[in-house]
Amino acid sequence: MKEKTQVEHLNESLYDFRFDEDDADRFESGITPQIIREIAEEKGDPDWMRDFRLKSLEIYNKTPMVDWGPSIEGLDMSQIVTYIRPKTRMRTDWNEVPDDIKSTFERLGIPQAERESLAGVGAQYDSELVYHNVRREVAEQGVVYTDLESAMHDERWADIIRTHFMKLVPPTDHKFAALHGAVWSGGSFVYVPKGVHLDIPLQSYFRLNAKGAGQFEHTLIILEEGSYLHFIEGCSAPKYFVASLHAGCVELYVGKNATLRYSTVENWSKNMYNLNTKRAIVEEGGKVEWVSGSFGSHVSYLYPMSILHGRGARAEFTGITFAGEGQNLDTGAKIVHAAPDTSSYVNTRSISKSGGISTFRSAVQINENAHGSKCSVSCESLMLDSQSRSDTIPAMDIRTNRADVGHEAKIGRISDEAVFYLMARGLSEEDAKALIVRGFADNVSKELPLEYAVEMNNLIGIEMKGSIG
Amino acid sequence: MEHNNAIQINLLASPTWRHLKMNYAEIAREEYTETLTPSAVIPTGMTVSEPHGAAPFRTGGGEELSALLDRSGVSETVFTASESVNEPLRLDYDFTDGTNAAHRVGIAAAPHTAVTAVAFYTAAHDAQGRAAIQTRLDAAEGAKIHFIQVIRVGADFALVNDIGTTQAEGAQVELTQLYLGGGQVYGGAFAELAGYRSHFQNDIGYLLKGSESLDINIHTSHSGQKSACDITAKGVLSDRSRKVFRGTIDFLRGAAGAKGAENEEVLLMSEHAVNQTLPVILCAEEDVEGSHGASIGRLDEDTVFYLMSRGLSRESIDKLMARAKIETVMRHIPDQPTLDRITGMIGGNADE
Amino acid sequence: MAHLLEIKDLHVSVEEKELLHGVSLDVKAGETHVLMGPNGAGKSTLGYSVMGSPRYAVTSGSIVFDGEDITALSADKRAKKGIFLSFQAPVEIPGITLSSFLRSALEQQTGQRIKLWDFKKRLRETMALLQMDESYAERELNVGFSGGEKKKAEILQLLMLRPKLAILDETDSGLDVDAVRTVSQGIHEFQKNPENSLLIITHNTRLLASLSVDKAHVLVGGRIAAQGGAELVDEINAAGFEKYLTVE
Repeated sequence: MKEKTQVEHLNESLYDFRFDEDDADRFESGITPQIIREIAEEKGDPDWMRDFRLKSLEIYNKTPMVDWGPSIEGLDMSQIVTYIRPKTRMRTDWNEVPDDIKSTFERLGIPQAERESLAGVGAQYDSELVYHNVRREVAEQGVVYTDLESAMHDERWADIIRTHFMKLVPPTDHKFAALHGAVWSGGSFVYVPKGVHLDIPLQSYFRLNAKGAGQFEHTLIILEEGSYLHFIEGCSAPKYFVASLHAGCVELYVGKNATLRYSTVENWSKNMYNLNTKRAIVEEGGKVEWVSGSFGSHVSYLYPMSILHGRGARAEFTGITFAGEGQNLDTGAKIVHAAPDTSSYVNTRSISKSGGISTFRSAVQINENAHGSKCSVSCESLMLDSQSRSDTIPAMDIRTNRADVGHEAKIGRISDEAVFYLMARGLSEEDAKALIVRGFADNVSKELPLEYAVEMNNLIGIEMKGSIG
Repeated sequence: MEHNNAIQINLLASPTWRHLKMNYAEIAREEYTETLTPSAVIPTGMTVSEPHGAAPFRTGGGEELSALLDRSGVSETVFTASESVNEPLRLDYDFTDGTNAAHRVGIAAAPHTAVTAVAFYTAAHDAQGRAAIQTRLDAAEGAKIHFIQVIRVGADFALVNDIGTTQAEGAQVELTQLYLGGGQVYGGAFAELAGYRSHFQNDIGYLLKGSESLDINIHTSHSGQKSACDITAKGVLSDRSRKVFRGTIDFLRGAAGAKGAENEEVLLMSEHAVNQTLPVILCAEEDVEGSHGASIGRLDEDTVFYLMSRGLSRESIDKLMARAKIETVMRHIPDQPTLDRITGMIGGNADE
Repeated sequence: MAHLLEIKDLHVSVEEKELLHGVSLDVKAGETHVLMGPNGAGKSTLGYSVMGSPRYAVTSGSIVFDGEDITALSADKRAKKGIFLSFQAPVEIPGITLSSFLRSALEQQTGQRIKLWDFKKRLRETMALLQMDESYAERELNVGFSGGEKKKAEILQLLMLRPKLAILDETDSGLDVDAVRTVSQGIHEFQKNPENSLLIITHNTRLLASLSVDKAHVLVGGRIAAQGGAELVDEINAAGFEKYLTVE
C-alpha cells in the first residue's frame, strides 16, 4: 500500500493547485451584520439585496444545524473567511487575466476547452468572477451569460433577478441556505429566450484557493418556453489544513417545453465541507436533466431537487458518487411531483473505498393532484473493501393512487469471477478492478461530453490506485 | 416534533429529512395500567414461566417504548420449547375489555427444536382503548421459530405490536404478520442476526380502510457471517388510510457472506390513501448482497383488462386483488384452523 | 343463421396513431373464421378492440354483438354477453389460484353462487378433457407458467366460461406439440355446440389443418385485403402474403 502513495500524489497533483494569495482582500473570520454591510457596500448592492443579506443573516443565526447525515463538527464557522475577493476586475480578454490565475486555469484546461467547444467561460477564482467571455453567436441569439452582480445592475435584468433570486431556495430552507443568502458572491446568470436552442454547452469552473475561505457562488438560470441549454459546472480545489466550506446555490427555472441539462463533475479538495443546494422548477412539458459526479470533498450534502410544477414536466437524475479515504459523501436527489402526468427517473451509482462513506439519500413525493405520474428510482452501490461504508436511504411519499412508483436498489461487491476473467486476459488486478468500476460508473460517463467523461475516468483511475490490499 | 406527552417509537436507524415526518411514530407517554394475559393453548413439549423483570432486549419499537413498558410494570410470560412441538402454541388476545393494557411474551426454542406459535390480537369493532404487546423470540442454536400474528382491532383502538428476536448459529425465525384493521397500529421488529447462518424471514400482509393507519418498522442487524433476511410486505390501502413502512437491513462489519432482501408491493385503491416507504440498506461489509425493491401504485391496466375480459367488474377486481395480496401471505401459514379463522375475518368466498 | 358479431367500418387508434382503417367483418352463429395477416397488420388490435381494451380507441365505426351495439361497453360487460379473448400474454396474478379465479369469474357471469362441489367437478372434468394435470387448478393464476402452460390455462378458461364467441389470438404461436394438442382439443370441444363461433387470429396456419373453416380474412396494413372461404387459407399456406403486400 505505502509505496503506491507516491503514484497517487503524482496523479492527484493534476487536480491540486495552490497559489499565494498576496493580492487578495480578506474579511475577518466570523459573520456579523457589519461584515454583511461591508460586503454589500463593496459590491455596490442595491438596497433590496443589502436588506436581503441582513435578513438572511438573522435567519442563519436562528436556524439550528442539521441533525441527520454526516457530522460537520469539524467545521468551525467562526474560522471561515466568508469573502475573498481577488483584486482583478472582470476581464473580457484572456490576455488581461493575471498570470498566476491564468496558469491555474491553463492547468485546468479551460482555454483549450474554450477553443474547442465552449460557448462561454465564466470561471470563478476565489469569490469573484475574474474571467468572462461569451461567444458572439451565443449573444446574437439573445442568450445572456454573465455574472450575477453585473446582471443585477443592468436595468434589463435587475427585475428578473429580483423576482427569481432565492425564490426557489429561500434562506429559510436550511442553515446553509441562509448563510448563502447573507454572504453569496459571484456565480452565473444565464437567460435563454423563447425558442432558442443552444447547441454548444455553456461551462463554468469554480475554484477555491484561499486558506479557510468559504465559497458561496450563486447560479441562476432561466429558460424561456421551448428553449434548450446544457450547462456544465466543474469544480476542483487545492488542499488546505483549515476546514473549508462550500455553500453555493443553484436555481434553475425551466419554462414550458424547455429542456435544461445541468452537468457537474465535482472534485473539491478532501478537506472541503460541500453543503451545496441545487433546485429546479419545471413548467408544463419541460424537462430538467441532472448529470452529477461527486468525487471530492471531505463531507458532502448534495441532493439536487426537481419540482415538477407543470403538467407533463419531467426530471432525470443520473449520478455517481465515489467516496475514498476520509470522505463522507451524502448525496442523492429529491423529486416533487406537483402536477399531473409528470415523470421522473433517478439512476445512481455509489462506490466506497479505503474507509470512505457514501450514502444515497433520496425523497420522492407524489402529491395528491399528480395524477398519471410515474417515478422510477434505481440505485446501485459497490463496496470495494470492508473498511468502507455504503448506506441507502430512499424515502417515498405517495399521495395518489393514480401514479406508478418503482424503486430498486442493490448493494454488493466486484465479482471475483469478473476480476479473474479480466486477469486471464492479461490485465493486472488493479487495472481489472479499475475497469470494472469505470463500467459501473458508465451511467454517468456516457451522459457527459467526451472531455468530461475522460476526466471522470481519470479521476476513477486515480482513486483506484492502491486499491489492492 | 417532540411533545412532552408523547414518546417516539419505530425509529428509523438512520434518520433522514425531518420535513418528511417519516423518521419515527409517536404514541402517548401515558403508562399502561393493566396487564392482559392471553388465553393460551400450550402444546406438550412447552413450558410456561413468569420471570421477574424482563431481560433487556432490542425491539423494533425502540428504547422509549421498552422504558414505557418497564415503567408500567408490565409482566412477562415466557413459553419455552425444550423439544420440538407438533401442535402450534396458540395465544389469543382479546382487547375488547382492556382499555389500557399491555403484556410481554417470550417464546424460546431450545437448541435444534422447532416451534410454531399463532397469536390473534382482536377487539370488538367498537372497542376503544390502547394496548401494547412486546414479544421476544429467542431461537437457540439450530432452532426454528415460526411466529404467526393476526391483528384486527377496531377503528378507535391503538395497538403496538413490538417484536425482538435473538438468533444463534443456524437459528431461523419466520415471522408471518397479517394486519387486517385497526385505528392506529404500530408494528416493530428487530432481528438480531448474530449467529452464523442465522435466518430471518418476515412476510407482512395488510388491508387498511377508512382512516386506519399502520406504522411498520423492521430492522435486521446482521453481525453473523452468512446471516440472511428476507422481508416482504404486501398490502392494500383504501379510502383515507395511511401506511408507513420503514425497513432497514443493517450489515455490520464482519458479516461476510450475509444476504438481505426486502420487497414491498403496495396497491393503492383510493385517491386519498397515503403511502410512505423507506427501504434502507446500511452496509459496512464488502462481502454482502443486499437489495430492495418497491412497487407502488394502482392496478396496472393490463391486469384490469385481462380480468375484465373474463367478466369481472371493476369493483370485484379490486376485491379480488386485495384478497390476492393477503392470500400470498397466507400461503406461509401451515395451520388450517388459523387459515379458516383468517378467511372468516376477511370475508372469504373461495372455499367454505 | 343470425349474425353474432358485426364489425362495421371500424377505425381504431392507439395514442392517436390509427391502426385499423375501416375494417368490416361479420361472423354468424356457429361459424369458424380465420383472420390472417403478416406481423403488424392489426390482427391483435382487432381482437383487443372487440374485447374492449381501453388502450385501443374506436374513433369511428361500430361493433355489434348478438344484435346489440357494444362499441361503448366495458370489457367485463362484453365478457358477460359471451365474448372471450384468449391473450397472447396472459397476466400473472399472484395470490389467486386458477381455481378460485375461475369460480369468481363464473359467479360474476351468472350472478349467483356456484356450489363448490359442482364447480370442482366440472373443473376436474374439463381439465381431464384437456389432459391437464389437476395440480394446475391450485397454482396461482399464470404465475411462473411456461408459454405452453399459459395457453392451456386460457383454453381451460374458454371451456369453463362458455362464451358464444371465442377470439383466439395467436394461440398456436411458439407452442410445443403437447400444448398445440391441448388447444386443438379445446377448440373441438368448443365447436361441439353448433351455436358457438370462433375467430382465430393467426399468422401461421399450423393449427388450422384439423379445423373446418367457414370464412377467411386477410388483414394487411389495417385493412381487409381479401376475404374468402377455406380455400384462402390454402392459398396463403402456399404463397404467403406477398400478393397482398404488393397491393399496399
